[in-house]
Amino acid sequence: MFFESKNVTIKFGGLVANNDVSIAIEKGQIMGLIGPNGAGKSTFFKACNGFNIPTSGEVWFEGKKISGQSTWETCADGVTSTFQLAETFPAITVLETVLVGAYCRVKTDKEAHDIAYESLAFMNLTDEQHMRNNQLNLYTRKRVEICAALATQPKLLLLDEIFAGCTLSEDEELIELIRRLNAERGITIFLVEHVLKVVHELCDQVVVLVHGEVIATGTPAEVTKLPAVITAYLGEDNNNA
Amino acid sequence: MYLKAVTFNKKLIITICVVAVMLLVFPHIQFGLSDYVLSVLTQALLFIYLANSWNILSGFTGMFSLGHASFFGIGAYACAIMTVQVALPGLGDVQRYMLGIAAGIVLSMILAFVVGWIATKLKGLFFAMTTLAMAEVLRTFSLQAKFTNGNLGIIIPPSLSVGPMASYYIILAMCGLAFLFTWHLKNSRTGRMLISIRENENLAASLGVNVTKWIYVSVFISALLATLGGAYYPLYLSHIEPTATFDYSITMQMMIVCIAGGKGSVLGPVLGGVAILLNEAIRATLTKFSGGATSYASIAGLLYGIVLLLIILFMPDGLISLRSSIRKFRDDRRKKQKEALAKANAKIS
Repeated sequence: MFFESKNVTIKFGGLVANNDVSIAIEKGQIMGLIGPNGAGKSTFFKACNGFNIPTSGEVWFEGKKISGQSTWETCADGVTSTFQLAETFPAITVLETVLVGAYCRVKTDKEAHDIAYESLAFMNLTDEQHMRNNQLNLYTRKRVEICAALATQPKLLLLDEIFAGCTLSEDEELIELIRRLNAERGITIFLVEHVLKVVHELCDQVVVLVHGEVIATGTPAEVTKLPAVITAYLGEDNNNA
Repeated sequence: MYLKAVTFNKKLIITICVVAVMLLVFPHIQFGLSDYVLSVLTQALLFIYLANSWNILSGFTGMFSLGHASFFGIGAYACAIMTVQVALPGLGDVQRYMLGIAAGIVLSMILAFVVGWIATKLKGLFFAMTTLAMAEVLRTFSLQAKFTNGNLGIIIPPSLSVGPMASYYIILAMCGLAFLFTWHLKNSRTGRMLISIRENENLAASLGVNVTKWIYVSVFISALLATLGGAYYPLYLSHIEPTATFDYSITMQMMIVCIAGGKGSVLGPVLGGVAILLNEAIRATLTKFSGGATSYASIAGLLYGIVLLLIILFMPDGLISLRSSIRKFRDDRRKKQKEALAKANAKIS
């Protein structure tokens, strides 16, 4: 299996954030992870990229166990993630940010710059390359973050609520971008998302996480019809009415 | 395009060359000034050099060290002890001094390893307080220990003394090398890794930066520079004592020079050297006014403090931010002139 989580359980003291989560992703897929607030989506993501260590269970990527190792090792293995809150390096320029990502694979200045310029061009950020990150708006910051992640040349990209806080037209652009990443670069995408419209348009497969447990897996159309998913999103009363 | 991104502009390079030449020929044409000016310049250069070292750990990597004097002190004491206190028959003073440098580097690297370990565990204020405690422990130790000769310190044999002129040139060369090194570092892979840790550790880690490793690297580089600065000290002063090496005021001076100039920038520490010169200038002027009496001179510190306060208040990024302010002012004025011209032209037509 390309990417697989095996019975991942994460507890914070007595609180069970993820319970027995098993998810498998095939190479080239766009996989979605949905669920109401507090379902444990970001917690699970952080177990995949090394910020959290599962209490039990394992995460495997291309035949290697990646849970429990450091974030930078996971990145070196080909799994790069972006953050929910569009993290940046505030005081340095866009180009310098992307360069940090580029140095993940190469050692020399020349190669790193080549990769950085190419990634910037792919993300349509060439004009902004000399701007400082704290001068950018949220949408551009998000694109810079994806661009830096792209410069690390990942095989699997974990996008945590990349659409949060974007306008409708920005949504459209981002969807197009993620499709291009998937189609032209062959990067497998795993994304957490709240906006169901985006999930419908983008994802091949969807996993629904509620109260830390997987309650459904399937195509977006199948999953959103299931009564359990509707209950989880809209509540009990809605079903009775 | 790639080269453009990593080099300074022409004007700046010319400025740097002019300043370098001026500093080089200065001791020969002192305009009838006393050795005092030369010694002030030497001191300023020493702290510019040390500020460079502090800048790498605190300005680039963002680990705020309050204990940099410990590396400086280890360098100075290792040389002094090896030259004076240890019996090494058959070796000349210079050879002993060289051995001292080596011993200082080894000891410093051991301490740097500990500091690096602390840096990976503690952040911000906690790291700062721990390093401060470390320096204070070393100061107290050097005050009490027998082989450091307590608070009397160690007197360096005259055979090592190189004279004011040579010591000026040595520290000038060290400063130049440190400057070139930092310049290169900032635009290298290492520099970018260090800065990314300062900016956002989590994001850096998720982009494949081995945060632990690079923190160690920055502590090692920074400690090495500070130790070499300490090793220079016995050449400059003939007397090594705890209050002039491990003292908190030494770290303070490095920080003032670096922060007043602009931490995290290559030119920052160099510009910050002005702070030291300013301090001396105020002191000298006040002493002159008071006719050699110390009554007026005692407020020199007060004035110096006020000036530093103003720098920090109005230029939080240090004197280096003057550069962008001037650039902005110039651009704005050009823009206004252009607009006025366009208006005038429109009126005529």
